[in-house]
Amino acid sequence: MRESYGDKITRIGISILLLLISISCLAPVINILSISFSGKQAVESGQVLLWPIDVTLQSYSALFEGTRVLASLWNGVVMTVGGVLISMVFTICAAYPLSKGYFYGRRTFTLMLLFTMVFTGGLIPTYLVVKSLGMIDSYWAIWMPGAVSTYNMLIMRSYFEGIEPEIEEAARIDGCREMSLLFRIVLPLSMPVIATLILFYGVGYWNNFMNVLIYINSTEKYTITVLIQQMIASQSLLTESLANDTSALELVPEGIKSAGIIVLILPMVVIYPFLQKYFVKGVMLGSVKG
Amino acid sequence: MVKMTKRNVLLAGASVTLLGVLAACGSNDNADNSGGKSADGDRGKKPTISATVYDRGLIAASEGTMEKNRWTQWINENSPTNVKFTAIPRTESKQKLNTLFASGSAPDLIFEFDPNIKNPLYDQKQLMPLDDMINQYSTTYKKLLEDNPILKQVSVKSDGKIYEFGKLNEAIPQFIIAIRQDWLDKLNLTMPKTTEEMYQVAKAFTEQDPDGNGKKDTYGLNVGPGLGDIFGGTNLSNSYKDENGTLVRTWDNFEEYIDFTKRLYDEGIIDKDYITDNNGAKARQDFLNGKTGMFLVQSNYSFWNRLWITDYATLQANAPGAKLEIMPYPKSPRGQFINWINNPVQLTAVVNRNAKNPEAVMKYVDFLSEPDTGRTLTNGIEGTHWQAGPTGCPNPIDQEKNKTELGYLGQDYNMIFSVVSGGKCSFTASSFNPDKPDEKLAKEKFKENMDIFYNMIDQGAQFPGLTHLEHLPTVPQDLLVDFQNANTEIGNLMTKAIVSGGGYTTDKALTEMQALWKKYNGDKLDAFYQEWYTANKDTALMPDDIFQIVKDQKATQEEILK
Repeated sequence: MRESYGDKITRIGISILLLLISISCLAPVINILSISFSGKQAVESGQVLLWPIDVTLQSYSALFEGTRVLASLWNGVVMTVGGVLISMVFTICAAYPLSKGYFYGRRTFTLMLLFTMVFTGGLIPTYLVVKSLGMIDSYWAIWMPGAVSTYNMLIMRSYFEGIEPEIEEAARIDGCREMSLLFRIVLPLSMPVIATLILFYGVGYWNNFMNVLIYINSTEKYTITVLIQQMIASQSLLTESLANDTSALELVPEGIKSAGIIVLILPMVVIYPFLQKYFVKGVMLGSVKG
Repeated sequence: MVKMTKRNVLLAGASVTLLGVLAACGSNDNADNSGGKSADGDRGKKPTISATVYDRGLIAASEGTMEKNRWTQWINENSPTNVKFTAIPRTESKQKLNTLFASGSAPDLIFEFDPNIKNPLYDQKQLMPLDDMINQYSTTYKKLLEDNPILKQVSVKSDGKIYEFGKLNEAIPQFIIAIRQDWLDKLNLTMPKTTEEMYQVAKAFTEQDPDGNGKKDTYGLNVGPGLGDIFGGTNLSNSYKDENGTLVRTWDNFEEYIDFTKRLYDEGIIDKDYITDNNGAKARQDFLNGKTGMFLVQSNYSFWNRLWITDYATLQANAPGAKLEIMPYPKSPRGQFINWINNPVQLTAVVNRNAKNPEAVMKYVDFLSEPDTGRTLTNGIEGTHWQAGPTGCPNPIDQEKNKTELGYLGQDYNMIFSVVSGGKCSFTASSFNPDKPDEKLAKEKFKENMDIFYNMIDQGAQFPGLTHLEHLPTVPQDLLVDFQNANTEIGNLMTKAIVSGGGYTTDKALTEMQALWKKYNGDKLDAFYQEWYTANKDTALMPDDIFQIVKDQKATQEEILK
């Protein structure tokens, strides 16, 4: 079909609009990237916009040599990978039975889970529970209380519900029992939703800040998110409050902060394309019924 | 795509379990380590206490962690107690301390600057009174209190007991104004002495193209720290003055401040976008690019070196011929006010009510108060990190090495160490190395600044506020929300008045501000401050005490700077 003149205009208009929007999203990232590669003086006088000036790797070498960035990067990876594994196992185990009409008490359990979406425990009570379970200062304190996100579990449940019952019947006729049905039939058919949830959980764990801060006491277990956040927030702390912090420590220069931000976002940026092909299918879940 | 075969599933399950075991092992290992450490201590029969230390994320991986590095090791080897450190993230210390206290796992000795974190702990009866500890077990810290009664005076809480350890700081200006002397010379102007002259000069700086590039791209000044102080201070909790024992709100300060800033805004003398420049980054960039005539800037501790060494060099690179001078605070219609002074008597440590061994805590505090400890935990070890310079004060041997090995120290392990204990070497002025031209200049400017400062005090300049903010009481819980709302909304109103042009007059803003204050229980807040003032005005740290400390330190400062 040939495009009409009006369609063409609309298409070009939309493209320009989307281009502008993506530029406005990318510009700050490019700015940070340029700052991280620029000389100190150029950064301090605010000359760096979208292209590095006096290109240097100083910020990165200062970051890697002067802070615990590598150790905390590794911690972030451990926490994220471990957390995603645990969360996926629990989420699948919760979603699968709830997707079956013949599961006894399905409605009650769903309601109980939904309840947690509306009401949460509050910081101190949750902390006390975690403490009495002996999980303080280990990643279990982050993995366990948040192992199942109800929202993610519901996404997975509705995907399972969407799998043709005929396939299931066929498998049963061939002698499949419940466990092998889940592992051999349902999960292989659910790769889109699994990839989607891995990404959801992964980003969640990677960016987790407050929980790490509260539950983890040893700084050697801090993740990169906490480390970088500390660097960035220390500046505003010094300039905002009149309560003097008499420690004569130097302020963290902009360049190092930017290098930190780049190191922080890099793993997620790298992983995204690999999961993206599933991700697109995943979010379209349930959009067409039939 | 990985097929989810039975084997794969088993593998996944196994790896989860393995991971769990690993993580569990990790935490066990750790427990063993600290256990081992205290076992070491038992050999020497040293008691063990726990203490906090700020974590700023600035320690190099090669140095270890804030809980375990060469300095914690040094402390454990040299102090009469073993210390187990708990790191408190600097920017989230309130959250972290609150959860530690709420769960009963707070360390024995807690170092914290912010009174708004410590005062509620006192109200909740989480803190241990220190009088008995000091009387029974202390020598060094006790002597410090005897020699400096003001320190004792301010550490007493409402029940008459001491609850905090503290220290004496150098009493120096926290904010200054740096003015472009080359612009003054070029435009044949003189250093402004009043706020009216300041306005005239700022106007000339904006309109007469002092940078000579033919464009009207300069600002007279930045809306920076201390601008309100010129008019007597515009901090809501602090804007009272004493009239025969009665506290009177100084709304006039707000009026003068708004009038002044509004005029600058209307005439384009300040950056029209100053409101969005939350942390002053844009203002600093403008200054560094040679676009700002009068730069209001923080100037104590490391900020002094940043301004006069790093930033001055950048400025001169960007604007050749730039020359900076220190501008004394001009006289405002409200009178002559002094620069904000950093807290000279600062309370920095409290003891957990549940501390098992108060004697050991006290011994550790005494250890930290020793001059040798203070010097080591600031400058490092003699012969390794520093050697005595010509003045007898520590001179770094290898800057680069020190940056890694001392860079994360600050004063975070010895937050209760007083300048008076450290003698002249712990004053800022001693840290400049006059053999280096840039540090020599920083030292000269420091002297100039102190001369201006002493001179202004001698001539009766007033302190911009009732007293130093850290010495005001914390607003009680039932009024806190009101107070915070009043603070935010009155702040917004001031901004609105400044940027709204002729349509919104200062008078109108002031009336609305006072109405807001009333609305948010301002009368009760006033009564609260009045009650505190009546009961504590003789014991709390007041401007006269601050000025007295400045005078007490003058001889030392002048000896270093001569």
